[in-house]
Amino acid sequence: MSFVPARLARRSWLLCVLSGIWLVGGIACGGRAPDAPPSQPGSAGAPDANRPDSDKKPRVALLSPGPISDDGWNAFGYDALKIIEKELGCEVRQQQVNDSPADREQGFRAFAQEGFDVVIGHGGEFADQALAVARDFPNTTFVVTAGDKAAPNVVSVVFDTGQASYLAGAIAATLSKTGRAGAIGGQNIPASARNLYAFRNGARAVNPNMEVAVAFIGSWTDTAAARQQALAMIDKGADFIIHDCDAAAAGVFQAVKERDIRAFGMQKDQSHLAPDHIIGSPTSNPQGLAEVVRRILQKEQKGEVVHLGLKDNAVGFAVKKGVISKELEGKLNALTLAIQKGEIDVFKEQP
Amino acid sequence: MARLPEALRAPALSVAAVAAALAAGAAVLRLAGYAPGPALWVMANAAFGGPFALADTLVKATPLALCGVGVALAFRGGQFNIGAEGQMLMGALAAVAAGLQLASGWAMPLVLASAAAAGGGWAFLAAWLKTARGVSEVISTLMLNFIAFWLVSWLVHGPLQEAAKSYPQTEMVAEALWLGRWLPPTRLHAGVFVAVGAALVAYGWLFFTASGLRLRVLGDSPQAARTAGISPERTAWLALTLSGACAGLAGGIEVLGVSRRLYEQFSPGYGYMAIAVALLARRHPLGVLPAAVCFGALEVGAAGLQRAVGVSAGLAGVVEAFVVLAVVAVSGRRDAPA
Amino acid sequence: MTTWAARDIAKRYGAVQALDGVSLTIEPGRIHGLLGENGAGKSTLMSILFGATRPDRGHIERDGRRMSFASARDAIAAGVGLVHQHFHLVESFTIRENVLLGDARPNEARLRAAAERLGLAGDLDAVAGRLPVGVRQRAEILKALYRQATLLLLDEPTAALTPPEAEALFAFARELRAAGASVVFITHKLREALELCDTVTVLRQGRVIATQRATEATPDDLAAAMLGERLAPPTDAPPLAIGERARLRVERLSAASDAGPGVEGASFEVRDGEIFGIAGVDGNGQTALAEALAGLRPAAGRVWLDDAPAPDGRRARLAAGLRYMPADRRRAGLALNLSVAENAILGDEASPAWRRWGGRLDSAAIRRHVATLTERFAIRMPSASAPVATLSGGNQQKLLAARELARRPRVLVAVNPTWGVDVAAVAAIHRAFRAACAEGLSLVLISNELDEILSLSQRLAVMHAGRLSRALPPDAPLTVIGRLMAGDGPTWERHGSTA
Repeated sequence: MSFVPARLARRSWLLCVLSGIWLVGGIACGGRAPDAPPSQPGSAGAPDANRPDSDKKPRVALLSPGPISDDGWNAFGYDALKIIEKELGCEVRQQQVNDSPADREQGFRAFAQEGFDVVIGHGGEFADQALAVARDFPNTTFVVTAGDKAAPNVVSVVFDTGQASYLAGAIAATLSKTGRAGAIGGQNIPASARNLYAFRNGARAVNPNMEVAVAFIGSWTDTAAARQQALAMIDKGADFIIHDCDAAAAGVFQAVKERDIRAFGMQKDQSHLAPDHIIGSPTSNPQGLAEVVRRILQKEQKGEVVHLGLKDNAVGFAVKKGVISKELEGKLNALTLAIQKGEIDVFKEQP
Repeated sequence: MARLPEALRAPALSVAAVAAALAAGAAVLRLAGYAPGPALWVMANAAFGGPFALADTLVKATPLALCGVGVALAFRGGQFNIGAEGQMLMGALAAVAAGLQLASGWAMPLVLASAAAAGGGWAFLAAWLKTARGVSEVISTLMLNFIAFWLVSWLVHGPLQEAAKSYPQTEMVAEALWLGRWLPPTRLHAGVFVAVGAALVAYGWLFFTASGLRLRVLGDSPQAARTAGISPERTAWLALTLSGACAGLAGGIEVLGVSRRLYEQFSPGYGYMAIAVALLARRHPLGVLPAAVCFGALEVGAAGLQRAVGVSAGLAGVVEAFVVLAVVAVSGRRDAPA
Repeated sequence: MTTWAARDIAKRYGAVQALDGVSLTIEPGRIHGLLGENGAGKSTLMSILFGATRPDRGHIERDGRRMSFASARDAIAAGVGLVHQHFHLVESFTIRENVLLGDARPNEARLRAAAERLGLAGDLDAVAGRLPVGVRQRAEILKALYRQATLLLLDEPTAALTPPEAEALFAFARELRAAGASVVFITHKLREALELCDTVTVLRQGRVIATQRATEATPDDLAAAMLGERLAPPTDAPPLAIGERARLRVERLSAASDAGPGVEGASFEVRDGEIFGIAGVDGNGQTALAEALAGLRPAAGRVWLDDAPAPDGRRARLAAGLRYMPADRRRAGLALNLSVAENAILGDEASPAWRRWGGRLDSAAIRRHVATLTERFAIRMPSASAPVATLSGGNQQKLLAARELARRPRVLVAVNPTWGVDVAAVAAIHRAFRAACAEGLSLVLISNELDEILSLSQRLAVMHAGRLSRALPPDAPLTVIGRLMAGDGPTWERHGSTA
């Protein structure tokens, strides 16, 4: 059966309601819906109507903790899923789950029970539930992005975005006139904290006296709180701000525009959100996640914590053209090389 | 309807409510550009197709049923308790607090009792405010919901946060306390039977004991209750406290059966949805069971809709909300206490 | 100068013919009194004059022209002003806001002029809820004056007023009369009507019984017209044997009321087997008295049951054998959505007769009990498990009476026990009362049905404005009872006691 989206009804409400009643009536009267789906639960509404049962495509699902339209963390996960669909030829599905362990567990179980090969929980908070569910479904591999735990069929993928944040810190320390910068996080979770403190480490590597205030607003979506926090930091002298607060970052950029200082994006190249103020963004490359999934599907990946960084081309730093001097660029290249070689531990100093 | 025998009228109304709800959901889906028939079929399948789906539905239905029994009791007694959410949170909090201290399986009844006591105590606050200070329980139970939410939020960020301090959540309670799971790998746990038991006990108490009768008299006519020598104050206390105890028990069961710990988003609004459950059940404790299954199925079905069809989470939520509204619109009019 | 008239107005509510061909002419520059008992049709007539109710038949005329009011708005526009017994002011608004409410083009000059006539000029910006009752009433009148009413309807205007306030109102009504307005003054107080009005019309059972010039009417005439011919007590019932002991003794009982007068120092006693009637127009403190006796309302004074102080609180009085049939059976007597069986045991639900282990109710025992009651009182119902709401009013009331009499109480306080029920049910309830009294029950029968009181009671008293008259024999002259009901009794009677 197919799910051709019906043309948005332009007719009256009444018709819509009537058609609804008719449809309900049809089901209630014991009739099966036309094209009754196979009995396997959940597969009933597969968007791909012509999937032959014999030639089975691998199936990959993504559990997002927030809306995939956030232009940040969740969009990143969805981008990876799209790559998995296109380049690995997988059947993919995505579900947004509430911010609660019970719902995360249910999401894992639902996909695993449907026989998905890989289920990605997008965020370190999925780790405990992945471990719990993995025991019951040995034939499914569970991937946790930014996770810190592993099991035979649980793979954690950590994007060390902090390596790029370190570079951002170095830029901020070089260009800052006040010697102060701010870092704003969403909820205080390990992945986010590591990222922001790497920024501080980078800044102090250039200027040991650089003051970097780190604060968490307790939400990934509260733009008002993010703006307030940014304004507070700016008022204390910060002239560079980096964030890791996902959709709430819109508030940070608002404040940055109001006070006309410079800022960094996160996760994707966000310079279009405040073109005059954002001079660079640490980025994660969704290709890196797709690559891990490919290895899982081809049985090349064992259950472990996989760290991806600058050297895997999984983390990058998108710099705005014309802001960086030749001299600074040289310095950054040297730092990048050192990080890739493992000579610098960007996460060395934590709070 | 006029020809239906009296005994069938209430269930018939509830069925009509469910039908109207499905129509409303279908209409929303259609407006959003999805073919409603197949989409509803997907939802039905996600909720009832096979043991796994059924188990998920029952897992969601369990807290709804327990809170729903509580709300139904309060409504029967004329007390508009909309604080099941907060009472459930307090129950969960008590269960976690007790569960972290007691590690033996024998302590399970004690843990659940403390959950019920915490929920009941939370509701008693509202009852006391009503009789002593004249504060409407509609306001006080709602306010107590907020207090409970922020209390839990503070505790899981602060004093009760796990030792690793990674996430705003408590440690897990000891495994010995976890409720037995049936049909692994599904999540179906023994709490389902607690919910059924609570509904049966509430039914028996409400309709076959003198104190249950007094509660219903108060709910039907406070003046008639006074004439019959029934103390409206004490009966209101009883109604609200029992109601809160049921919701608190729901929190305890949810901790021991599903979440094993407490965190900020512990309840996706079970306590609020329980109001719709109680109304759909026409305030009958036994009716709460099928009504809770309906709403549990709706929750699971909406998630299934997302998984299978790619309906966005927001739209799935809208469909769900419309269905709840339709249920309340058809069934709620006469049953909510004035 | 406008002449208003009602022509052949009829209005029916269900089985009750509230108005049955009422014609009335209200001349300009006159104060027209409208007298009658509860249910005589006064309020319905007012409501029709004010456009809030449409008559089944007949119409209103203004200067001979037929008017048709679709709503009160039409009536106000035509120049009718109504001052309700219960004020319709927004309490948090000022007087000015209340008067101008809904007026698209406020006219300050007119408002000032009207306020000055009423002596309200200084209070225009005072918040209505904080003003004394008399001032609030004048604000209501101000509303009518501001809208240039030519017909002012005053519905029981003195009920809530102190005597000086009432005097001020009368003075103002006379002033309006002098200015050429028509005033209709609705009351059941004879003395007031005779003092103030030019013409008096008496309504009884929806008909005009008499229209007289006030100067030609006497209180006795009017009382007789209001009460009509009364049936003699039925002779087929043997007189009850009354005991010697005072079963219930009430001494200087006072209690506040939620609305209207409370009880002020009521004293009486009821002997075993006696039916003691308390007559009076509704709203004179009867409810407060009944509730104080039942233990539902805090009261000063003393109540003795069989020479022992009656315990406080409803539950305790119930346990002491004092039962209560409230006036409003649908709200205060029965729980309508609960079953017949459940209602039949209310107040006795904890009785050991059907109490089983763990507080469970023995449904078989209850069914037997209900079967006994329904058989004895011939209560017709779908089944014992049907909601009481499905019973007719008469059967509901019989059920209530049956429940209250079932456990052989010592005292029963019954308020309007046959209000709104069919003739057969009235007879059944009266029979049951007599039978219970023959077995020793002391009945306090509070009723606005004078017939009921006259036919059942061995002695009676009249309640007016919270005060209880001395006890009278049932063959006391009707004119005396009527004047007591109308608040026109000699003071010694109002303050009388049974001593």
